[in-house]
Formats: sequence, structure tokens, C-alpha cells
Amino acid sequence: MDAWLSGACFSEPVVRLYTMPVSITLGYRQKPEEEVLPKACELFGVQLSRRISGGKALLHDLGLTWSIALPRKSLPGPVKESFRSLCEPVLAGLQEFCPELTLGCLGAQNSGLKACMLEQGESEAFLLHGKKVAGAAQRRTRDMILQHGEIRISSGSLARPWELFVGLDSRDGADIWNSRTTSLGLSVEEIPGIKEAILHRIGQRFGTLRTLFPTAEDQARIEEFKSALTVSF
Amino acid sequence: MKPEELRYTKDHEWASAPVDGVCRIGISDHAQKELGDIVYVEESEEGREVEAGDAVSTVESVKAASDIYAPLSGTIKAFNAALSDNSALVNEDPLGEGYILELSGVSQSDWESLMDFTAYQTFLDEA
Repeated sequence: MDAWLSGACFSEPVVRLYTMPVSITLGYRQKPEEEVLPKACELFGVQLSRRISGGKALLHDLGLTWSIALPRKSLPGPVKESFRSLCEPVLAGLQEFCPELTLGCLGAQNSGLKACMLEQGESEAFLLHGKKVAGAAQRRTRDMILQHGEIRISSGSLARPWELFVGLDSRDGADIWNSRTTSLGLSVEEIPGIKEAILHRIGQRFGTLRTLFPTAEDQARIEEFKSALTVSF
Repeated sequence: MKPEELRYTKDHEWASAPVDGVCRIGISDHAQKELGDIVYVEESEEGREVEAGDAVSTVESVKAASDIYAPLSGTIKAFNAALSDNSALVNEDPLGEGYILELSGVSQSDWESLMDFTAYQTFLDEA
């Protein structure tokens, strides 16, 4: 759906808030064998797919996924500025439930981890007490900017999620994971309220939001993207 | 290459003057500054025929993947292989060694119809 959205051309912002099945999404150019461990994915029933945005491998596990697509002319200027502008209303919505949440950069670590979402970066992420709760990435086409991300609402369903990732399947994988990531510590039952708060804040920032009614032709295109973005080893 | 020798599009791509129908294309200095540090440039499919405006590559910068469009119609002759090892060339020398690809079969009149440097500067000022 996000792939289709980024190639569409709307005059108003489109927002999607949804929960993905337990899965990992790879950045658009990442090689699956370099990022995740196929046997662990199979064992835990974790599906793999590819995003149209950049960035690192990202685990979805009972989190809230958000995406905003809007015309590029709504947010002219550097990527970093538009990235922050699109994160801010989401942050404001989340802060209604978790006031200590901030936007910042994940600090340095020494594991040599390159692939997954816990790598140190100069880019900003949603942090709670210095640990990553959510990240986001953009796709920019001629007409549109699409930014999407995943918010960890609760601790998730997987007992040892680090075992899915290359570089974290070591004896200190749990320590690295637990020292660099956390969740909002909320119940999934609070997701409807969180959605409402985020939608309200995005509406305040960007004005009227568009309701999506994809045509049959659009649906066919969405299915094509779904097929193209499925990843297998 | 000197910026004055190139032609530009509203998508912030440039094209060099065709020589025997072959020109180089890349992104403008303005575009590379907007994108920030570029970490990857997707290799283009050599031999593919493209129309002006078709997406021919994708560049990934910190936090964003952005489409690159052909400023002119033609055939993708060669991707700039130097970018496979050093995508930062696009930031360091966007109008020179950081070009994205070469297009063949380019029409001189099509090239002349693009914005010259002065017109592009005006376009940037107005934007």
C-alpha cells in the first residue's frame, strides 16, 4: 500500500495507522542473507518483506505502524527537516501517553552491528530514556514524500527477538538488544486511543487528511507491489 | 564540469551537452544538499530505453530513498561504476565525478529545450 501511495499524487496528506503481522521489513536495498537469519525467522514464524524506503532491518511485533504520504511541495527543503516535520506530530500524539518520549540520536555502541535498526546513526529516532522505541524512513518521488515508521507499544510477542538478526545471534545479543531498545510499556488495548491522538496531531499540523478509496485498478497495482516486495531466501 | 555548461530539469537533474548523442546525467548541487549524505546509489539497467521523466535510479541518503529521473529520452549506456564503491562522490562532486549515468541516443534539440544555468537559478530562487 505504501509503495502505491508514494507513486500516487494527492493534494492532501494521507495517513495510515495499522498493525503489521509479526515480521521483519528490510530497507529497499538490503540483502536478506546479510541482515536476518532464515532458520530463526522460520522457527519464530517471522515473515520477511521489503520496504520502499531506506534504512535498516526493522522488526514489527505488536507495534503500531504509521505512514504519512503528502505532496512534496508541502514540505520543501532538506530531507532532515522534512523528516523531523513528519515525526513531530507523531511524537506529540505519543507524548500524550508517554510524556518522556523524545526525538534524538541513538548513542554509540561497540558491537559492530551494521544491519539492523539498532545501529548507531546520525539520524533521529523516537527515544525513551536513551533507548529506541521507534524509527522512521522516507521515500521521495517527484510528487510525493512518504514517511513511515514503527512504534513499539509493548514488549512484543517474541521472547528472544535479537536471535533473528545477523550480528545479534551471539551471547551478548540480548544485552545489546535490551540496552538499545525498549517499548512505550503500554497495552495494545491502548492502540485505538494512540491512533486517535496521532491523527489529531497530524491533522493539526497538515490540515485536512484524505480518506483513501483505492479503485479496482489501484488494488491491482497494490497487489503487484505486494508481490514485488515479498522477500524469500 | 562547469554548471554553466549543463542543462537542468525541475526535478533537479542535470544533463551535459550530447557528444555523438551521448551525455552524462546527474543531480544538481541543490539536490545533493537537500538529500544530505548519500549512502547508496542504485545501479541503473544498462541498455534500457527510457523516456524523459522515467525513473532510472534511486539514491539513498540518511533517512530517505529518492527516485532519480531521466532528464532526456535515450538509452542507458553505462551506470557510473565509481558510485558502487563510493556513493559519497555524488555529494563531493555532483556535477563531475559524481554523475549517475551516461545516456546514448540523446537528441541535441531535446537537450537544448532543458533549462540553462540561468533559468535553473531563477527556478531555484522562485521555488
